[in-house]
Amino acid sequence: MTILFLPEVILIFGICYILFIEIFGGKRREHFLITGVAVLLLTAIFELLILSATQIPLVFNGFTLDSFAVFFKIIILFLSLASVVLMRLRLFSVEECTVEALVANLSLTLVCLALVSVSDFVGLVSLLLIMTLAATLPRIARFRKLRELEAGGRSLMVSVLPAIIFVSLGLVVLSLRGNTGYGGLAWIEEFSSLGPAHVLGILVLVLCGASFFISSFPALFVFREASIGGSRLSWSFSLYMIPVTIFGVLVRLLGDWFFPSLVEIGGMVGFFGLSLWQNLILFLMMATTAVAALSLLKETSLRSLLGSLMTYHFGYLLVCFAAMSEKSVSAVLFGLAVDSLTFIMLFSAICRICPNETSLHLESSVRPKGIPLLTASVLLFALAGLPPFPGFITKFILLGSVFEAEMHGVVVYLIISQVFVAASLARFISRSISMADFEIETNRGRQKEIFIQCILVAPPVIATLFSSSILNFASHAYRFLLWS
Amino acid sequence: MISVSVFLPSIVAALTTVLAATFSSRGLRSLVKPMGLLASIVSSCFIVWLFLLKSSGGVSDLGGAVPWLPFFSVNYDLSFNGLNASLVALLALVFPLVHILDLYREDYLGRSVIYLLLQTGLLGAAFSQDLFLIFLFWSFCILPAYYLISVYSKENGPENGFSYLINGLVGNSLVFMSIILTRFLSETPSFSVQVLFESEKISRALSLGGLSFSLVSAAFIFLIVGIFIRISVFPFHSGISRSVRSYPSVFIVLHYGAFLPVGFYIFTKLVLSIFGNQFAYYSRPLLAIGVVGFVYGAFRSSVEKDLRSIGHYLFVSFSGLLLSGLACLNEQGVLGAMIGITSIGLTGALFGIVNSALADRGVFEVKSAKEKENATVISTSIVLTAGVVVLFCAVLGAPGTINFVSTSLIAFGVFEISPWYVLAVLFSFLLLATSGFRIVKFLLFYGVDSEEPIFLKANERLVFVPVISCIVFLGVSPNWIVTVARPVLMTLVSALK
Repeated sequence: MTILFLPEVILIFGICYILFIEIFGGKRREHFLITGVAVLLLTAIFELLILSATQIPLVFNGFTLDSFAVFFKIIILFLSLASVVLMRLRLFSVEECTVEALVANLSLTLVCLALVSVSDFVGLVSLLLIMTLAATLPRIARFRKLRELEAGGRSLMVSVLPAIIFVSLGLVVLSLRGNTGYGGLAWIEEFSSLGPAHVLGILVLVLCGASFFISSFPALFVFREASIGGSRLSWSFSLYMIPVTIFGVLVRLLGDWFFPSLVEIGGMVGFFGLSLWQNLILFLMMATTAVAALSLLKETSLRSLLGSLMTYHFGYLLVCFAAMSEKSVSAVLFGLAVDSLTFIMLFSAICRICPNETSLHLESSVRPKGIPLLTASVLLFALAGLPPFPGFITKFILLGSVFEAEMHGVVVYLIISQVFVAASLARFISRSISMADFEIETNRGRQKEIFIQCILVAPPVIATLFSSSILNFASHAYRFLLWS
Repeated sequence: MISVSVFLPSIVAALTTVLAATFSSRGLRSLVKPMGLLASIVSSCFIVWLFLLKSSGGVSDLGGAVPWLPFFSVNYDLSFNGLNASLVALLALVFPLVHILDLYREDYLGRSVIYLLLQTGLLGAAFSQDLFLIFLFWSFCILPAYYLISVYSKENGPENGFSYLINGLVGNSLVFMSIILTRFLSETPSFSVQVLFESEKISRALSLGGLSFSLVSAAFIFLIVGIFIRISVFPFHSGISRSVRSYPSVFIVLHYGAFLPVGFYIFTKLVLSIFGNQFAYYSRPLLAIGVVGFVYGAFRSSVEKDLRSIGHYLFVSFSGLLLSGLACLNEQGVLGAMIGITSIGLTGALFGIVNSALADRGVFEVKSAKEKENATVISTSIVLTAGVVVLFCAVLGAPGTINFVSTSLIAFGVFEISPWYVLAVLFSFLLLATSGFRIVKFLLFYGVDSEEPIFLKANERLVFVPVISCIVFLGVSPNWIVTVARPVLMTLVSALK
C-alpha cells in the first residue's frame, strides 16, 4: 500500500494527467495543465514529509527511502515546482511553455527522484541514461540553429561515457560481491582486500562518471554545452537539478561504503601529509575551480557566466569529499538546499532581464532591464558565497572542516579563488549596469517590477535566519547514512 | 533591545521597498518617504535608552549570548559595553544625519534603503561579541556600499563601484583567513571574543622552503592588513584614493564618519582581546608605521588640490595617529586612540557634510588667490562658515575640540616611548595646519566660481548643528567617554603587560 503513495507514483500519474488534458482539454487546457501539475508536485512534497515522519526507512527492489533520500527528494520536487510556478507567472516565452516542456519537466523530476533513492548499479546506469535523454531531447526537438542541434547531439553522445564508466564500476562490484547492490558496511572486508591502486581506480571511475553531470574536471565543457540553445527551462535543469541529484548519488555511493573502507586499506599515503585519495579529489577540485574561475573573467554572456559560476560552485563543493567528515558533508547538503532557493530566485530575475532574448549579452545592442539586473546581481553574489547569504555559511563551515582536516593550503586557495570569482562577477555586473535601462514607462509597471524583485531577494535572506534548523536537518539526513 | 536597534533599520528598509512598490498615488508615497529617517531615529533612540540604562542601572554589560549555529560554536551575541558605547553613539548620530542630508533628493527612497542596510551592518558589527558575527555584519556592508557607489555616483559609477568592491573583497578575505586561523589555534575552539581572550593559543608553525612561520602571527598580520585595506589606512590607503573624487557626496560622510571608526574599533577590540601577545611583539614596528602614516598623510594633504583628496589624506594621517596611539600600549596612548575613534568619526562626518554642501554646488577644487580673477569676500551661510572653522580646529586638534583630547593623550603616550616620534607628530601638525588653512582661506576669502552666494537648504543647515555641538561638547567635557571606556581598556592593557 505504501508504494502507491510514493512521490514517483504521483509524478507518473502527473504525466498521464498532462497527456489526458492535452488530448481532451478544451480552450483552458493550459491553465488546467500548469495548475494541475503544480498541485500534484505540492502533494508529492507533502506526502513525502508525512512518509518521512512515520514509516522510513523503506527498502525495496534496489531503492531506499531514508532521511537522506527524503532530503534530496524535497529539494528536487521544490525545484520542479518552482519551474512550473514560473511558467504560470509567464516568465518564459510562449515557445517554452509547451506540453512537451511540462512532460520533460516531470520526467526529469521523476528520474532524479529515483536516482537519489537507487542503491543498485544497474538501476543507477539505467536512470542516468534516461535522465540524459529527458534533459537533452527537448533541446534537440526545439532547435532554432544548426549549432544548437549539434550541441544537443554532442550531449547525447557524450552521455554514453558516464554510462560506460558506471557499468564498469558495476562490473567491479559484481565481481567482488556477486550482486550489483551498493551494500553497506557488510562488505567492507571484500573491498579492503583490494590494493590501493584498485581502490584509487574505483574512485577515479566514480568521480569521472559524475563529472559529466556536474561539469567538473575532466568534463568541464558540460555546462557550456548546455547553455547553447534549448529553452531557459531545460538550461536551468542542467545547471542545477541534475548536479544536485548527482551529488546525492555521490554522497550515497561514497559515504555508504567507500570511505569507511579506506580506513582499512594501507599504502595510501600521498603528498603534503594527506592520503592519495585526498590528493586525487583535491586535484580534481582545484582543476575544476581554477579553470572555471579563469573562464569567468572573459565571459560576456550571462548564460555562459552562470555556467562557469555553477562549474566553480560544484567544483568547490567537491572538497567535502576530501575532508569527508560529518561537518563537511552536512555543510554541502545544507548548501545544496539553500542554494537551490537562491538559484530559483536568480533564474527568475534573469528571465526578466531580457524577456525577449535568451540571454543578456554585453556585446549586444539590446539593453537589459535595470531593476531585475540589480536583483540578479545581488543573487549572483549570494551564490558566489558573499555574506550575509546562506551560501556564505556553507562555505564558512566547509572551510572550517577542511582546516580541521589539516589542509591549510587548500583553505588559502579556496579563499583566494572565491575573491577572484566575486571580482569577475562584479566586473560583469558593473559593465551590465552601465548599459542597463532603468526607465519603466508607467508608475504601475515600475511598482510591479520592484515588488517582484523584493519577492525574489527575500527568500535567501530569510533562509539565513533559519540556517540552524536547515543545518540540523542536513546533518540528520547525512547521519542516517552511516559514518563512524 | 539591542537586536531591535540593530535590525529595525533593515526591516523598515524591506517594508519601505514593498510599500513604495504598492502605493501609486503621490500622497501615499510621500508618507512612505520619511520612513527611513524615522526608522533611523528610532534605532538611535533605542541606543540612547541603552545608554541611560547603563549609566543609571550600574549594570556593567547589557546583552548576552544565545546559540545560533551550535554545530560550529557560533553564538548570537550582541552586547553593549564600555568598549563600544561611544562608537554606537557615534553611529546613532551619523545615520539620521545622512538621511536628513538626502531627504529632499528625488531618488531619496532608493538611497534610504541602502543607508538603512548599512546602519544594520555597522551597528551589528559594533555590538557583536562573536567573531563570526562581527565578520558577517562587517562584510555585509560591502554590498550596499557597492550599489551606492555604482548607481548614485555622478560619473564612472560602475567602475568606481567595482574597484571599491575589489578592495573590500581582498580585505574581507584576509580577515576571514584570520578568523578561521584564530578559531582553530585556540585551545578552546570558539568564536566568542571573551572565550578567545581567556584561552591560550596553540603555537603552530607553517614550514615553507626552510622558513618557519607562526600561524598565530600570520592570523594577526592577516587581520591588520585586511582591516587596513578595507578602511584605507597607511600603507594600504591607495585603494580608494583615485576614485574618491567621483563617489557620491553622502558616501564621504559614511566612509569617514562610520566605516573608518567601526573598522578601527574592530581592529582595536580584536588586537587587544585576542592578539595581545602578538600586538605587544609588533608594537614598535606598528608605532613606526603609524607615525610615518601620520607624516605622509599630512604631507600629501598639503599638496593636493581636490577637496576630497585633501580630506582623504587628512584621514589617512589621522588613522596613522590612532595606530601610533594604540601601539604605545600605555594607558594614555590606548585611551587616546579609543577617544580618537569617536573624534575621527565626528570629524569625518563634519568633513563629509561640508564637502556635500560644496560638491552639490560644483565646488571640487581648492584654488589659490592667483587663480581667481576677482577675489571677493564670500558671503556664505553662517552655518557653513562655522562648520568650516570647527573642521579646521578639529583638524589641528585645537583645544575645545574632542580631537585635542585624543591628540594630547596620544602625544603623551608616544612621548613615553620616544620623544623623536613626538617631534615628527608636531611637524606633521604644521602640515595639517597648512592644508586646513588653505581650505579656510579659499572658502572664506576667495569665494566660489558661481556668482550666487552659497545658500544652504534647511536640511543642510540642520545637519551641521549636532556634529559641531558634539565635537565642541566632548572637547569641553570628555569625561563622559573616558568614564565609560577606561575600565574596559585598562583591563585589556594590563592583561597585555
